[in-house]
Amino acid sequence: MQNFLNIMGGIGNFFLPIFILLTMFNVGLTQTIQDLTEYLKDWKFYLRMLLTNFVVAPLVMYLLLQLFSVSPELEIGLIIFSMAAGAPFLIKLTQYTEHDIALGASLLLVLVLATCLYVPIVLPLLMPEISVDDLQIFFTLVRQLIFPIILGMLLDKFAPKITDAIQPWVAKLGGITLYIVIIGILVGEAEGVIQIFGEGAILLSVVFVLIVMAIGFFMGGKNDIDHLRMSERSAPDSATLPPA
Amino acid sequence: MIIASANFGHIPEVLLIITIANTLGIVMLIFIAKYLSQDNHTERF
Repeated sequence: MQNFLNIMGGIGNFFLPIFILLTMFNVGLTQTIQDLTEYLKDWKFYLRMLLTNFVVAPLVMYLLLQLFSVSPELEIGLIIFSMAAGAPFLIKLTQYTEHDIALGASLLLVLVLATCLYVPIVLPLLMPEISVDDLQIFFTLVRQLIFPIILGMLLDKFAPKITDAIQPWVAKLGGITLYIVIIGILVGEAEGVIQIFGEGAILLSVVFVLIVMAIGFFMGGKNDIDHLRMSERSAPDSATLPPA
Repeated sequence: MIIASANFGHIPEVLLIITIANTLGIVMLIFIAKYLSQDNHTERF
């Protein structure tokens, strides 16, 4: 049984960087720099998202931790969880809600860059006993998230025929690897879940996600450029996705 | 996870809770995103 859990966890962790690479590469294959920068004109939207992710979310976690105490190790994990924004899953969520991927990608880039600046400054203030290697975080995020986008954009520009041939497969494989990652990690970490379940940290994280999602939903409002683009493509209208 | 693995690799509980919270959060958000999309399709017709 233990071997099975280890294998599943190993599969999940093996496919996680592949999922990230394929998802971000697909963004590069399907979007141009103009697509991404067009959304940045709506600076109020990004300001609201930055506020939600870097002020409201950590504050919600702080309040939850005041109400429900967990062990110091789990507390550190939950604080980091609440502070870091810009998960590549944001792209998939944007697809699921049938919004323009460029909106998700531009928001992801803004959140990643903000995380690179925010975490090394704020985390040591909250936890003075730790030091954060900001350069390592920055270069890891650039390598995993931004480099595949640039690679995809370059391929689309200089070899559009190859892009047309591989893009549907990259998108499909990205979707499949997401489910492999989720199942692998959830099954692989089952023993750990059982070990810490009684502490209430998992429930706390679920409550945190739901609260921040609701706040993000209302803070997001409607993005005019997104609505215009999606109506031009005759795509169905849908509510704005909450932040990552 | 990148931040935690770079700075708290020696404390497995930190990585564990971030991994679990992250994965559960994604699962919840996928369901909510699909529901929102479906809901809006219904509203259109």
